[in-house]
Amino acid sequence: MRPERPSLGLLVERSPDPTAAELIVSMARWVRPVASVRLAREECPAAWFALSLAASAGAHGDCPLAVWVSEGDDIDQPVADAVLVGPAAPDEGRHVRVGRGAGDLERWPWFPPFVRARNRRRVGLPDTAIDVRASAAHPIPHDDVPTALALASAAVVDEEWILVALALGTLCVATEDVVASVAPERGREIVAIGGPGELGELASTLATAPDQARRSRAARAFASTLDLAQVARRVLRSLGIEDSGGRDDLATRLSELGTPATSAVARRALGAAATLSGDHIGGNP
Amino acid sequence: MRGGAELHQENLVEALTRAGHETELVRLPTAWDRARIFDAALAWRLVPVDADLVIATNFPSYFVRHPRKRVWLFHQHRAAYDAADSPWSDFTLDPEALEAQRLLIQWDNVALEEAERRFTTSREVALRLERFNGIDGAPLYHPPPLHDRLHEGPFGDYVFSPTRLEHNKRPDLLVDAIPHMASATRVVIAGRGTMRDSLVARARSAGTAARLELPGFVPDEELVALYAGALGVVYAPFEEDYGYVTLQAFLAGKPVITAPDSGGVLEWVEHGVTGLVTDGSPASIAAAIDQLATDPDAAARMGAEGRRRASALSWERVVAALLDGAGRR
Repeated sequence: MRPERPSLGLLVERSPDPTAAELIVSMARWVRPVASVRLAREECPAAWFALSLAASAGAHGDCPLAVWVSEGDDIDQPVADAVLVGPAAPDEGRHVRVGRGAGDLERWPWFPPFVRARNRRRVGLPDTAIDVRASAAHPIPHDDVPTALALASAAVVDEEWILVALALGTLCVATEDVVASVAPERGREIVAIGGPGELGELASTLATAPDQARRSRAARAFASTLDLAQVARRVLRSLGIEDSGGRDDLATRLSELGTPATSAVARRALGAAATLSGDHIGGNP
Repeated sequence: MRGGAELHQENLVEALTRAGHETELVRLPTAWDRARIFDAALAWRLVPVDADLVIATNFPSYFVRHPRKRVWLFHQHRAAYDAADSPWSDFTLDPEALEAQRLLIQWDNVALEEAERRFTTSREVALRLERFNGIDGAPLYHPPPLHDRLHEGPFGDYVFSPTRLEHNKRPDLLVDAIPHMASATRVVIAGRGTMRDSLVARARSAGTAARLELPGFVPDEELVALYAGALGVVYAPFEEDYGYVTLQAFLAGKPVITAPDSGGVLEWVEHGVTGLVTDGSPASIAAAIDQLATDPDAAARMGAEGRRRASALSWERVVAALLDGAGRR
């Protein structure tokens, strides 16, 4: 039996920001979102999540509050004790800033350079740098780009693919503008930046860099800050909602190690736990 | 079965206890085949460890969750890393194995990054951690087993090589070196393993069996005596993590002959100063043995310098480094 998840009361005044809506979906792995209108008058959820500053006025009772703040919001007079979340939130303390391009990046697995090299060997590819820009001489078909990025030793990327590439741990080369679109502050730490005419050569140099694992790890780490599941965890932690125990704890442990829910490892572990909870259908995991 | 890692862990516990800390060694069984390699890692993830501080050592113990986790990394699961292409690794090039390898590296990164401090047993292990995982680790060296019993002795008429008789230890290089030697130096290789019969067969076919001794397992007392009476020690394994043999040889005042791809051994063997680094071929190893045989004074000088360097290692320093800044609660 799945233990009851804590409730998260949603305070909405207008159509929520699409990223905030996605964040609620991510949070639903650990909490049960409930619209405030569905709660009894004096009922207090485990925490409130207001989807705008104005909506936060609807919070009542002695429970923690998070507030989504968009660019242009006046956060100089924040709601007392509230956890600020969103593009306008300060990146400090309990507050959680949500960067540009945030989304479900966890679905892209990290491919470290060593595994990339072995995968290339398996399919008979040479060590190679690729160019996925639409303007490139031979652009890669759209559907094949993630595969190419997962195999590449380094890649020239555009605005459309830079976050996917970073999530995959690809060593990226891009122009200043492309990098600024996702990482205005930390761009130079995670992407090699060059002018339009020098990107290919830069990628070739990067493809044989001695510190590939470190660069790949930094790329993944940066993408993780924009992954909404990670953002959701940080927000819930700031609200004092910790991991639940028991079988959910096992799923949490698997998740924090970056284990895809559909992987053989996750199936094996959750299957073993299911035999104890009576959820198991039959057979020995 | 107890191996080097188990001994290492027990010695650490002893050193921590001696330093006045209440210490408990926690072990979980681990299956090493690819299909079950994640099981013990996940089990460590779920084990409650109520201690002020945790020191994790080898795979998969560093998966333990603790707010004050420190890692002294002996090694990762090498079959998924530097040994992935070796015949004994089951991390082959099929898609399932590659996905398991990808996931294991990811798991390792999460677990190792959590540590508030990371040490490795040698620079070799630190370099692997950097190369494959992009993570830092500071080498922290420790004394080998028997460090307080090993002693110097005369430079005899044999070279000694205490090692498991397995392919990664490459005892065959030394056996194949015998026919190349100009001197009449004998070879003593102590240890057990699957290569024993093939080593005997090689020596017989080369007509050198009379100069080769394979005493198998030798008790500590005999081991100490074999070190003390040797002309030098030959140790040329493939990419060794650390290599107790090198340090034990030094503490017995003996120079060490090794190969350029012997990993951690090279952190200690400085060519012409504490031993001889050959090109790894049997002929080159034979030439190095002849060099020691014809110039025992040089052998003694190199052995003495090795002994001076190895004597600087102590468990007290290891404990101080591992617990630095930890304080007491």
